[in-house]
Order: sequence, then C-alpha cells, then structure tokens
Amino acid sequence: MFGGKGGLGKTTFSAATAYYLAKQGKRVLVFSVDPQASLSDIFKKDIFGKGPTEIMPNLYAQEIDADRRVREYQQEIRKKIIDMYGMDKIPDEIESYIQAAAAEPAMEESAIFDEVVDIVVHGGYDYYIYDLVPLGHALYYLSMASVYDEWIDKITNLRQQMREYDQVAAVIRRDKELDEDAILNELLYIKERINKSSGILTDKEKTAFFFVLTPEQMIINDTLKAAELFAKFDVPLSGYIINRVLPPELKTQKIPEYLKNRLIMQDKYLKVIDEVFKDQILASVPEMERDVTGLGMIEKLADKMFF
Amino acid sequence: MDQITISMTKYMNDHPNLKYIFFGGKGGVGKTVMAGTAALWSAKQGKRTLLASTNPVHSLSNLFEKDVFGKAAVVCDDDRCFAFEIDTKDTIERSKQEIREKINWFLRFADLTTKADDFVESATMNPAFEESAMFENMTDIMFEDKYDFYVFDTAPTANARRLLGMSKVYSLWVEKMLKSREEAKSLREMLSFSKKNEADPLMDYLIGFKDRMAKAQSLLTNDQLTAFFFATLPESLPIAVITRFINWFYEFGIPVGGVVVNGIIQKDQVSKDASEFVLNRVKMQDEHMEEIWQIFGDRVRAVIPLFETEVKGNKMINRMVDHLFA
Repeated sequence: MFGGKGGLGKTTFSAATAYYLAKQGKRVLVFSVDPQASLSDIFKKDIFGKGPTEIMPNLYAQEIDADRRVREYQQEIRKKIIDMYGMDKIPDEIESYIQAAAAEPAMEESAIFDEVVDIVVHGGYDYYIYDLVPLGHALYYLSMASVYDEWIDKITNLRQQMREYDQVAAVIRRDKELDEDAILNELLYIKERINKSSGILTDKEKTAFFFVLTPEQMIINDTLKAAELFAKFDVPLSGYIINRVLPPELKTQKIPEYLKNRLIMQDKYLKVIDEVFKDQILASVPEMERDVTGLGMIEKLADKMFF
Repeated sequence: MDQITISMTKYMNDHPNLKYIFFGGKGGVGKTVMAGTAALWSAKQGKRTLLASTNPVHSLSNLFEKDVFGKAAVVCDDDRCFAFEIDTKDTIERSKQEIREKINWFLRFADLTTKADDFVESATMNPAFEESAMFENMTDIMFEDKYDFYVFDTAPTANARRLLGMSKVYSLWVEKMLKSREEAKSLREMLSFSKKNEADPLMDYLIGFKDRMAKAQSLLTNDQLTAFFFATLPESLPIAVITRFINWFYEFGIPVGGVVVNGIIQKDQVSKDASEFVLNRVKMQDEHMEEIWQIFGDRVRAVIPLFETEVKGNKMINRMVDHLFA
C-alpha cells in the first residue's frame, strides 16, 4: 500500500511497483477506490468501474466505481422484492424508500469497503497493490476495519438483547423472529469478512505500507503527523520513499533561477529527511523529464525504484 | 484559443455578490495557496474575509506561519483577513452529545429501557460521521454570517464534491425519516387515551435539520453567491482529474467559477542552451497548455508562473495576488 498527501506520486509508485512485480513473473492486481482514479490516466486505458483489466501479462488494474456498486445493490433489492411478492413492478412507495436508503451518507463508504473486502478475500493474485486515497482519508479507510468490527459487534449484541425482550411476543410472531435471525446471520457474515480483511491489513508478514514524500517542508511536517496517526492504529509502516528529487547533475548545467532555488531548497530538506527518517528511507526517485504515463515511462520509473 | 477571455478579476466584477468561493483539484497543485491568495485579495477589497479549511489534514497554519487551529485569527497584514482550521474532534464530540440527548428522548418516547450509550457509540462510529461533521461545520460557518466573504480550502476534490453533494443527499434521507416519524406519531396519538399533543423534540430536530440542508443547498447552488474554482498544473494527471470533476459538479448543479493553471515555467528564464532536463519540461508544458486551452477554453481564469521559491508567508502571498488577480 502506498500512502501520502495528494500529488506526491502514490498512484505512479503503485503502478511502477505493479509493473516491476509483474515483470518478475508474479500475478499482480493494482487497485484504487479513489474516485479521482488516476490509474486510467497512468496506464492510458479507461478502466474505471470495469473490474480487473489486463494491462500486460500478469498485470491487472482495477478502479472501483462506488456509485455503480450502490446502483447494483439497489437493483438487487428491487429484484428480491419482486420475486418475494410476485409483483411485476416496485410500488412507488417502496421505490422512494430504496432511493432514500441509497442516499444515506454511509452507503458509498460501505459500498467501497465491501468491494475492497471482496477483492482481498477473493484471492487469485500473488500481490495486491492498494493505491490509497490521500492521507486524511487513507487513515480513515484503514481504521475502518477496526471501526466496522466494533460497530457490528455492537449491533449484533443489541440485536441479541432485543431478541430476548421479544421472546414473549415471538410466540405469536413466528415469522418475524425468522426475519430477525436472517438479519443476524447476515451481520455475522459481514463481521467474519471484515475480521478476515482487517487481519490481512495489520499482518506485518503479509502487508507492507509505504509512505511517499517529497523534499518540501510542508510535506515533511504532514508526513510526520500522519506517521504518528498510523502508529496509533497499529498499521505496520514499512518505510518511506522520496519522490521528485531533482537530478544533482543539474547543478553544473545551465538552468533558470527557479530551478537553482529549488535545488538549494531540496538539498536542505533532503538533509532534514535523512535526519528524521534515517534508515527507514527505502528509495529516492528522481523527478522525471516528463509525465509518468504509459508503460514506457512506468518502466523507467520502476528501474529507479527497484535496483 | 490560447488566452484568457474572462480573468479572475473580471469574473469577480461580473459577480459582485459572490460570497462563498471554493478551491478544489488534485493534491499538490496549490489549492491552499490559491485559497490563501483569494482571501487576501478579498480582504484588500475591504471585505471582512474568512478563509476556512475543511480538510482533515490542515495546512493553513503552515502557509501563514501562524497557528490558526481551532480558532479564527487574523493572518495577513490586512486585519480583515482571517483564517481558521476547523477542529473536527470538537464537532464530533458535540454531535455525539446531541445525538445522545435525542436518542435518550426517543427511547423514553418508545418506552424502551435500553441504554442509549451503545446506540450513540454505534451511530458515531459510522465511517461517514466525520464527513457529515465537516459538512455541518461548513454550513455553521456560512449561516453564522459573521463575514462578508468566505474562502473554503477544501479537502481533495472527491471529498469536496461529496461534501457539497451531500446537501442534496441529506434532504432526501431526512425526508424519509420525517415521514416515518410522522407516521409513528400519529399512530401513537391514535392509541393514546389522553389525546393531548405531546412535544416531539426529535421531530423538531429533523425539521430543523431539513431546513438547514435546504438552506445550504440553496446557497451552494446559487451562481451569484457561490463559485467553485479548480486548480491544476500543466501536467497530465491534474488535468485529467479536474476534467472529470468539472462534469460531476455540473451534474450536482454546483456553480463552476473556472480553472486556474498554476506553476508555469517562465520561458524568458530559460535560455536556448539550458539543460536538456529543463528544455524537455518546457516542451511538455507547451503540450499540456495546448490541452488545457482546448478542454477548458474560456473557463481559464488565470495562468500563474512557477515562483523561484515555495509560496509561504505574507510576502509571497502578496506576490501571488498580483498573478491570480492580474
């Protein structure tokens, strides 16, 4: 997993790592839940909402479309109602309820989460590369596993309590009790899935989490803040990768003023990074001459990252 | 087309009642700097201005080199210019308390003996809760109406779109809840012997909430009051991102103010015998500028040069004003 503030190169690094591993003969899936979804742009192929798409042998990429997932879910409910009651069409009253439920603020979140769990639990790849959304939100998703777990625990407990209260009434409401059991079973199923995926997320043997940063003061500060937060959530941090380092040979070449200043500034902050992150720095990747899009540029970048 | 037809300044003049502006775009394109610049500009126009960050990872304190976390403080040399990083933790605590009271009331209303704490915990641990809290913060600030002009430095665009879209989504949701509350209430009245009209704070809350959302939506979709600006660099990924987002914003009926292109390498600073690296970058920039003019055309409001140093502190922001509002 690659995390870090927006615009630092998380998606690019995810793509380059996927490329490198695929070249090593591993089956790799690189995926993103970010609706800003840059994987399509980087691979120059529209994969948004299209499921795992083969980019080259062994390399698959996927961008999750949460909206579509919510729509599918709605459709599923409609179908269930129609089948169950033998209707030809959903009554307006119920249709408006389905619409409102989909508009519930948590719906998109859980749709995304569901899809990620599906991907991870489903298996079939040697490596999964999860291109996370920018910092604040990355944390949010990672903490979600434990949050959901606790949440569902509470709900299942409450449900069980409620059922005790309901014991008397249940005698005359047999059907209702059966419904309640079905709901409880569904919740337990979700819980099991979440336990499995959060187990994978926090397993130091299976999961590595990398932070991307650039030699700028603001970015260094934010990265430190974020690292603290990640520690709090017990997410194993495997190291830092410095991106957009200007090639030092520029110093001896003819360059404009802004670049001279940036070189001085970068030198200063590279020293800070060295001091602060020390042996946790895994790679230093140079600023490229042009955008990293298309497999040719990705290969170039992968060569700089893995040597 | 390759030049600005309606500049930032002209847009502002054409929309003299503009009161809420937002800056969005991919991370790292300079949203915070643009927001800071626009706030200073507005203050210079004589307006009491608030620059508020709704980003869970704030950077205003860093930009102005002054701590504005959790409280609004004057940041620029102009004393009308305030900045404020919203402390989400506070809001979440407050909302938790509100929910606790409401649920307690509801449980008594429904004659349930279950303790509210568990309900409150499970409701507030809901992952969308922080996002809703941020949205409430934003609308609170808007409704307080203590300033003449507001600039919002929003979280990465996806989030911003969701925050704004949420007002629409909320009203739908609350509508549904209101309806079922009404049904429950009339049922209860029917069954009750006393027939007296009981107060229903939960219902009052829902109605209040619905009104707030409707108000927020009407402010956010009014193109005389609100404008959403997108910042980009002359690079392919940030351009791709805002191309997609502008369309989403149109769908939501949120007024798009235009596009600001940041970080242009000035050609007069690049000599013909400059390093290969620089010449290649300039070439790439030319390609992307062409793309920008083609996609955004007369919606480009400003093209801002790459400064020799990081934009931070008042002096630099003042320089930026001259470029954004050229």
